Amino acid sequence: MNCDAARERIPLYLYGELTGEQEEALARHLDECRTCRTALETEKRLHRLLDTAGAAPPEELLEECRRALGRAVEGRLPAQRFGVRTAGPPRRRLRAPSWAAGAAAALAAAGFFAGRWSAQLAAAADPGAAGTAMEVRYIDPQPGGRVRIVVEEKRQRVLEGTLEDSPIREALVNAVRNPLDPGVRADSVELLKGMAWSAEVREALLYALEHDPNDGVRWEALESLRAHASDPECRQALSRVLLRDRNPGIRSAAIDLLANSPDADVVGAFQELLRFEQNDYVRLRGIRALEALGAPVETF
Amino acid sequence: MLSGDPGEMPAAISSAPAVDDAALIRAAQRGDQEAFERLVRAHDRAVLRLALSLLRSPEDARDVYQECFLRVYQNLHRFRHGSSFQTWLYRIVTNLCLDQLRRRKARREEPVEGTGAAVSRGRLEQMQEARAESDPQRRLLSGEIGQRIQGVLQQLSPKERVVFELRHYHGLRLREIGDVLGTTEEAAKNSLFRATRKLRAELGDLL
Repeated sequence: MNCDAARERIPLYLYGELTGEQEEALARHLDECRTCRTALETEKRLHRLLDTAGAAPPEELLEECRRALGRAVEGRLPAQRFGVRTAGPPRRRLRAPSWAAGAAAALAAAGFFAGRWSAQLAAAADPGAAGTAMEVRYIDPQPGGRVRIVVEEKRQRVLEGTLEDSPIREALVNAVRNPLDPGVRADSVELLKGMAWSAEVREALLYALEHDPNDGVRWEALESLRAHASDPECRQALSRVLLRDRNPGIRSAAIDLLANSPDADVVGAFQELLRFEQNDYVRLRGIRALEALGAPVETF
Repeated sequence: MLSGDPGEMPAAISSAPAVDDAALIRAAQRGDQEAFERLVRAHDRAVLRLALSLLRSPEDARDVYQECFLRVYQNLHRFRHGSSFQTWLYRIVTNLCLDQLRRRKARREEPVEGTGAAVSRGRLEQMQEARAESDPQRRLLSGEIGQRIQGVLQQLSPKERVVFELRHYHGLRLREIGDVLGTTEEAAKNSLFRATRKLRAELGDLL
């Protein structure tokens, strides 16, 4: 493989979209070509940069949409038209489908659908209290046109300090599990990289490695745990990643980390991998790792 | 199996929420409104995110969201188990967004400062920045680098944008993206390749 072909395949490699043969050829080329290894690192940085632009939609907009859909599905009000639009999909009043007619009508009559949805109003910025958002938890209509509303307030505040400060570290550890923003998760994992000696940080990084839906965050977590690959809990997580991660690049990186500090269990993990692995390249890496350990490829 | 097929992925690393779509769909098909609501809530964040990313207008994204789930509601009885609900849903929202982009192009609504579309984008940026307004670094990121990235994403063709969004931010495999767009995996791969090449060229100074 020449450098041009390698550069074309690097993006697809990071997305786990190469065939086993293609990955093997790329790996061989990367072993020999420092320039393309640099290109791979650049591509990883591009992924992390793009992750920062992939935030979840604003919660208030999502809740507006849910309320409007609830009203439209309920069918008591025409679908609400938002804003001033000069073009867009045609809007219509919902015609209840026949399959749902009985139960839906009964539930709609009770205000079930819209009621439940509107009771979960979005966090709405309070213009009178900067940095505070409130979420309506309960609405209780009162006699005389009054209403009693229970709200839950969320207050924003700024934390400043170094990673040595426990509030900062705690915030970053929590941010690793932020379900809405892969950019925040990637930043947190990257910042925590040098703190993996701490049990709570390592636990967060292991969580990201095993559970984060974003390939880039899982890559980052794996890199951050490289120095701790001999720890038992890390090895157990890597063994699970071997069998479960959807990205073959991450699976083969996990093979490398486990093979670098082999123990009694790693042979079984690699043999288990070979029972199910369908990616030719990952299979080959597993076979080579077992051969390097002097262990049989088959378990019987 | 470890083929990398999201359908075979453990739920913990799936891009879709860990809910049993099949059970919810069956219940919703029997008229269970709560099941339909749970189905919506399991997927609507992704739907809105895709619409917002492609259209860059909260108003248009809100319309697409509603139209998408109304179509699901009205056609759920036709959904055949064994096929992917997620793919069906993405196909609906993607087609609605592409239709909207075509309408904009036909009516020459695309970015002209001061028009409705530009005002909508301004509102979207305000909404996005509001979440990070107390953090100077995040504000800087969303205000400058974020806008720069969005600007480059807007330069991609609609098809490249859809493929990139679905692969990078929604975690769909190229084979699934091909199904969503009614094209081949190879065509989706080519679109992804062109998109990443453009992004790398335009954002190279930030890397």
